[in-house]
Amino acid sequence: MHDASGKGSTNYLNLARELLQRNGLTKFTTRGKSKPEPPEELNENGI
Amino acid sequence: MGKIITIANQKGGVGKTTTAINLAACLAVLEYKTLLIDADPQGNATSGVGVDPRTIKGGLYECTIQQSNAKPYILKTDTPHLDVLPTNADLAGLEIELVNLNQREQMMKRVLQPLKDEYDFIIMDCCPSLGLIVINSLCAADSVLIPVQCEYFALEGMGQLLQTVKFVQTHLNTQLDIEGVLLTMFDGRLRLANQVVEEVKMHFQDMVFDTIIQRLTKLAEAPSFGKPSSCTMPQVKDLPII
Repeated sequence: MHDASGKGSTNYLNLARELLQRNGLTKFTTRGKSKPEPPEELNENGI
Repeated sequence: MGKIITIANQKGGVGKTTTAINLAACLAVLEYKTLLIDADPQGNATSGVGVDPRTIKGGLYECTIQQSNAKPYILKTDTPHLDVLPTNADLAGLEIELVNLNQREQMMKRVLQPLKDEYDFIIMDCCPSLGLIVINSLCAADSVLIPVQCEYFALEGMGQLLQTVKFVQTHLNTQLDIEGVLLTMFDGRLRLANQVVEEVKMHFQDMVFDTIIQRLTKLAEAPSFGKPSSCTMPQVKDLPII
């Protein structure tokens, strides 16, 4: 009834993701929540 | 520290409330602690997340006019990570009551600023006007998201809205940013809708979100169930980006 897997949800989920990207929150974890990208001079381990 | 995003456009029926409810719900589904603030006396964002505006004991009006803590008025919704600061018709009186107060443009900011420590995102749904309530929400916000309907009069009033945003940026809230312009109610079958998309992108370029909200019956119907279209089902997180 609430279109959770339909286009309406997809539109707004994409908007949320785009907004997160614009705010530097781009990497999605398996739990959905994204984390800020590490600064360029650091590798993935933060070194 | 969280971010306050206000959804504003003085034109009515462009999708402000639908955007506020569903964007807030999607951020919550993505596990960001999100607060939806209803700054429209019609209370549609309040009822859209399942709270009856007629039964609330207070909301945005009370904490703003009393300059008191907003937390006692915040309610949990059925969507995990999503709370709402509700409103009812009383908020309409705020516009008049603020007129004679000193620093009347900053009344909401003083109340909402402490909430930034509690939430990742605070999404404010504004009423269709450029009155004191909307000015207050622009003063309290870090950024403004502007929904634009893919219809004939899409750009009508945009000039005035952008002038207001610039005035607020210059005189009242130098930190205010434009989060972006969001095209809503897009029907790809209509040549006009495609022309509006082109025109808005030509005018506002990078400010326009790549995501375009389609005109969908189910989006319009969802508030009657008191739930966002983008509700709590876990698989929503796994939906592909289209």
